[in-house]
Amino acid sequence: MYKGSYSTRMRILAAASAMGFMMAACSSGSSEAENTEETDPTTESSTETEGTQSPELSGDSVKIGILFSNSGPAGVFGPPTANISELLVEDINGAGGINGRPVEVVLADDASDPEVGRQAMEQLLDSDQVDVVIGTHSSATREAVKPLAEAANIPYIYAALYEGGECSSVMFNTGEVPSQQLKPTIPWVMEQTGGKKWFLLGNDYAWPQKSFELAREYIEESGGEVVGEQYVPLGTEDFSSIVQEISDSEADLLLPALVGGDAIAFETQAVDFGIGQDEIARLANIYEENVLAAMGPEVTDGMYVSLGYFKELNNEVNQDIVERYSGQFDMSTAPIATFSSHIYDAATLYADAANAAETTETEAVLEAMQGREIKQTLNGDVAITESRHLTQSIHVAQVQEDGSQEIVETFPAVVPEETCEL
Amino acid sequence: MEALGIELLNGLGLFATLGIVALGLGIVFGLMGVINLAHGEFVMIGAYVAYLVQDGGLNYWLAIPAAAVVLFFVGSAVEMVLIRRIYQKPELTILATFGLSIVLRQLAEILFSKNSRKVSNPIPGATDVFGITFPTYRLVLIVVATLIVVAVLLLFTKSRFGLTVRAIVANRGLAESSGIRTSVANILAFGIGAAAAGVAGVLVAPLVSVDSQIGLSYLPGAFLVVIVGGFTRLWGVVIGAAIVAAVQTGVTHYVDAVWAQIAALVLAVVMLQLSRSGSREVTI
Repeated sequence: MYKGSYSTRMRILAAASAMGFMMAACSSGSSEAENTEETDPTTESSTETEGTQSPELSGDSVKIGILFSNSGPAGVFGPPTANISELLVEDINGAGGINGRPVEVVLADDASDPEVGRQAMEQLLDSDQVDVVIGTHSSATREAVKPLAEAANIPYIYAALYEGGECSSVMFNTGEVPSQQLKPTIPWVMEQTGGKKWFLLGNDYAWPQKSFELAREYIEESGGEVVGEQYVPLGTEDFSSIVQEISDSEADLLLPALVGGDAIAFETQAVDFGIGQDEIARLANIYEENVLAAMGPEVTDGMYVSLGYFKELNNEVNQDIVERYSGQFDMSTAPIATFSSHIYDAATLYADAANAAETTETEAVLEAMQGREIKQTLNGDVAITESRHLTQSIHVAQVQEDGSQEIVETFPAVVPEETCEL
Repeated sequence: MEALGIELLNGLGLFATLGIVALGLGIVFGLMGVINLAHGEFVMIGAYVAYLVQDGGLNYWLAIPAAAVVLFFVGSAVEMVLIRRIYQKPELTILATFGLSIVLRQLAEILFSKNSRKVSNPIPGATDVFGITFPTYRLVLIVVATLIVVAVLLLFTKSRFGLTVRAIVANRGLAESSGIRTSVANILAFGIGAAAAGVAGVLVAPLVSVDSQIGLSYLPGAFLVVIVGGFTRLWGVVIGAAIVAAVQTGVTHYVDAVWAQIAALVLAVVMLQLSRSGSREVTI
């Protein structure tokens, strides 16, 4: 049997390779499909441990489903989200819950995979019977789970930064969109650095592509020029040819829309090739703190990052959360960053809207969400727009020599240029 | 001209990386008929060994022998516990190693968390090669990886051990009745394949994000190399790595990275079609 014919072996090898590619594409795969975690930070225990004089809460708890990536390539964003969801339960319950009822969080992991995400969403809606779903996950998972939320008629707040354009009856999108993250910051970075020639480098999927379409407009409007645009497949390990191309393009500014391991591999290799921040200034729109830490300070020193949240923000709500988070969790290995902060803020928004509506009934809550303004978020004052997106401040942080982030510019109340007519 | 020179070096870098990453896969599949879907996780363990060595304040280069030893034992253990019972059924080896890959990734997450670990470049800076400035570490990687691949291939083709393994591949029953301890040779071959993957992990660690997902990005490339190079000869790994690296670098340079991946996949499909016509015996 060791003399299997060449072609038989080739066929087996082909089948196995196909499986290998599938594994690479789907990452951790279906084994984690049932791994929907349930934390049960019951109201009693959380209020007791906090020792706050919480108001009397009674009745069935209001269930907030959180759909996020806790494993697979985006799994690194998971732990801060799981941690902060404990704080948000404490805070909402401490402030009187939702219409006098306690809240409870149900966590669900999409394993960075839309199919797993769909199953996790089904479980949230059918078994856990959540009253609202808040999600920070890929656009691919969003497309997979949106029809389920619509069919179940349950409010679904997509809180991750994304390419824009979402418009659905049950959805609100509170993450940063390109007209917020890039439109004001592109001319600002050009002014700061004196650069005009941009290279756009992204992973090959919807978010980088649509973001770059808009980035091109913003660059040209501000008198800049796009001298190169490249996309690499997710999971790329060797960036030598790409780095070469960037170097040849003579660009002086780089917009890198690379995610996770790809971002780390690219930046590490670019520095080896002498194309670091000093040669080509970066304006990054998804290099949040978890990713920057993995690159290391010698790589990130001087980079500009544009996001709606940094843990360095000096408003009271944020400072309180950062202090409590640091006391309970490890801020150095699982720092609060854009995705986890948006989970907290979306829950605050929902609770505020449901309290105003005096019910958790879907239609009433969705109506109350519309146009809602609140001040108690981690990013200060925000307001929901008619297009069901979020007017919020956008900050540019510059990474310092020791790897810490310093906020160097804030664009207050940036309105998302989105339209949504239902 | 200079751009071409750099692309040539880039291509060589990719060739060396692909070659050493695919080497263990080629050995284990070509010689033993086992499709090891946990090969990428062996690379991952190697990368974590590099992290531990550097984190412990030791010299990065010590990680190469360390990873080789660790992975040799891991590989041998996997052969003895898992693979030995299912040699006769290739589809079972696929499932078993697929399961193993999940277990190893989860173990890595438990031990090292989901955060990416940083392995610092042991020789930062660049060197002039014929007027071209190229990262020094990559040049060293090209040399070290090539030397290791050649040494392992020579071991299998020229040494007495290699002869034994080839005898087993040619005819297990006959080899056994001639007094060859086939079970020991299997353990050694699997162990060496795993050790090669571990060394590959050490060598790529300073270039990429060291996390539990790293194996998944290297596995498809390793399979491409083995398919394109064929496995009737172990040197097929070298040929396959050369062809895939040339195609990837060339297409990335002249078109873009997405088409480069498509081209490499098309190449694999063509090679599979070509191989269907012949039914050559597997030899070394």
